[in-house]
Amino acid sequence: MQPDDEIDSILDAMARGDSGAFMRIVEVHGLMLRSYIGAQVFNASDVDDLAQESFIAAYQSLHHYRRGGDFGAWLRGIARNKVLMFFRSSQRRAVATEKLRAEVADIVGEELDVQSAGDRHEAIAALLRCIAKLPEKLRRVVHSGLDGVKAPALAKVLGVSPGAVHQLHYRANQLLRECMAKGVLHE
Amino acid sequence: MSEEGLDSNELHELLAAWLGGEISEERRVVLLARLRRDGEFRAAFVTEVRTFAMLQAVQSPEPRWLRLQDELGLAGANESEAFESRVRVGLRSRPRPFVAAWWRPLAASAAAVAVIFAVLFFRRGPELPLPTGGDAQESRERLAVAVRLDDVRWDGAQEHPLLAGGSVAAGPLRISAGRLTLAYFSGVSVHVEGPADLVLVGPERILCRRGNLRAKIVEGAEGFTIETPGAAIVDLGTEFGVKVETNGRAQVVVYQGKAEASLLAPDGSPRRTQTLSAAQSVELDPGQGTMRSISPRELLAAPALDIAPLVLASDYPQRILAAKPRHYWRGTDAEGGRLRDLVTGSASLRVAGPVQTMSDGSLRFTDSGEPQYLRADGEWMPPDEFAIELWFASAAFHNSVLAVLQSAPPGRGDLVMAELTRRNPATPLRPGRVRFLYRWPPGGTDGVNLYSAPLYIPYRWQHLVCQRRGSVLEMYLDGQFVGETSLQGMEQTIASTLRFGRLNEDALSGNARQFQGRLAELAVYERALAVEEIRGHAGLE
Repeated sequence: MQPDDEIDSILDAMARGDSGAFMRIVEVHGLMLRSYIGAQVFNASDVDDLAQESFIAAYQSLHHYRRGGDFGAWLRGIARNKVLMFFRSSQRRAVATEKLRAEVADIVGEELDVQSAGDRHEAIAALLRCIAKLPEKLRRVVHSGLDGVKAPALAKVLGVSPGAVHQLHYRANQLLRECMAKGVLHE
Repeated sequence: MSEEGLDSNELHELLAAWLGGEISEERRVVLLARLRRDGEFRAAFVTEVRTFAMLQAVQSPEPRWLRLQDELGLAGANESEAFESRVRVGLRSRPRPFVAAWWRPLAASAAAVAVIFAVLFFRRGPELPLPTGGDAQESRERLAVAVRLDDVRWDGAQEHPLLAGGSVAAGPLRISAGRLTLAYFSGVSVHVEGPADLVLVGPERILCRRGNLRAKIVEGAEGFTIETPGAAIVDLGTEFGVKVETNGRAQVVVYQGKAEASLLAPDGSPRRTQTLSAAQSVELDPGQGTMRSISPRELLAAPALDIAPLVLASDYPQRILAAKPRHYWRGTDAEGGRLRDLVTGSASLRVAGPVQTMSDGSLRFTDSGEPQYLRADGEWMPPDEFAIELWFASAAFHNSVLAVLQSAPPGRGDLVMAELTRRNPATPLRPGRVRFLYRWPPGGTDGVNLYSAPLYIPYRWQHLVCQRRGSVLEMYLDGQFVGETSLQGMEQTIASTLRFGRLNEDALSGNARQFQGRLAELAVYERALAVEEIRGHAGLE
């Protein structure tokens, strides 16, 4: 989370005409915002596109932000609207998977906001090191998931059932979250 | 705890569907109903998708924020950077030419049969559908990298215009003008000239409604298919071109090797097929159901893709020497087929094969087909801490060795290897990554793998450090930490020989993993480098 005084100093710098100071906000909030959008939209290129649109909208409406407020929450609110507009596209609604994601995003929106409230750049960045600490099999499951390999295909490679792959993935995610939490505690 | 239980099949089922898996309408309704009513189920689901999204965000390259920078008025910010820095960045991003073509008839034929079989099963008619429903499962799969863009104007319907060096996912690709070159993770290269309306369906298939394409297929990627409205062209190990007009008429020309052109029936079955050899050309008219030979001509010239000279700070060698490496070799210090070690002063790196020393001090590994490598004299027992540092620029996506330490005497196997990977269904390697491998006991299989999180970019100079720090392997690409892994009880070592550019010295080897492209500034340390040193060497500080 960005300290209020740092946000204030960035806003002050921007008020003096230093628009480049906004990139410091992007640096600190970029990972969090992309994670927040990615938990709804899934497709990586869509995520980056929406994150960029959100930052542009935030920059354009920065005068609406109240100093002393929760800047991350304000930014997520903007992103949330962008995601809603994204899913409103009739073309996307016509695709079954996108329709499901749109419905899911609608249902879990509140819960997602609650869970995202404590996100920190450092904790998310620590995931890279956390992945390395996973046992080989779990690491492979995580990488395969990120590479788009579906559970049945991975199950064949690992010689297990698709259900077992899901369990491995579930376990890997648990360990990663524990590792993230430890990383934050030890800072 | 929820009465229905959290660690349930329903949670996995919903996650699988959210990730792109198929789901029936009935199950969709049931799962969404539970998501609405069961708060604990909802919280568990959100926790899982958030973990996925964080992993995806942290493993993806940082977006370039170009539109945002435009909005902020920073588009010209680079103008104020130091001249040398601008030149370095600009030159690193320039590409270089592809390698020569080849084909292997037997393997290619088998692959072609498989693809025709797939076309028979999956194609429903001459209309080209957008990937939807089941196809959406692979809609996020990254397939290639855009390595060159020449005056590309994006069609208004193109949702995500590509940038040079950016990855390309499956999905529609529309340009109204200009030329674009894609390097597939499989090693296939595809040049596209606009106006073009394509759908990149998967690693082996492009649907083309309109456009001018040229595809070059490499060993192991045979069967690459370009489908047009009512026709299909299947690679048999070749380089071929296809030009598709809006009325569905298509011209096909084979530049090298062989390809098979087919007119398709409405059910997708090939109703007429012709195998084309080099310098043969046909025109396919699905509307008329005709296929006729025409005079061969080049439909689209392959653009020159160059690896630009490596431009480094003038004091780069001094900085490396100040870091006290065990060895440091540069192409500028070649004498009698050997490179002089700038640390010891002796000529200790033997240049084998037609490796060319370039004016920028880099070493060019050609596409001659002959073994090419650099082998260090003597043996070295890598200690608990060591680092291998180099610059590389690869020609396309290849499975190729950058550096390998093989236990002495020869034949006992690999101890350490740094290599580039490509997509190959025959191997489980993560495609498009740098792979750092430690094997104990030394051998040809097993070991601990570390893959770079980001992709490497063909034709672009990149700085690499692979190092062991006690029980941990670490990798840094372009000065950025990109991953680490534990040796997990393999913390042993043995006297080894060091080679760059090739897995072995056997000219007849079918698994030589020959590097093609350029290597430069080869350094070996008997300690792990600090992050600040690595960033400094990579030009980040």
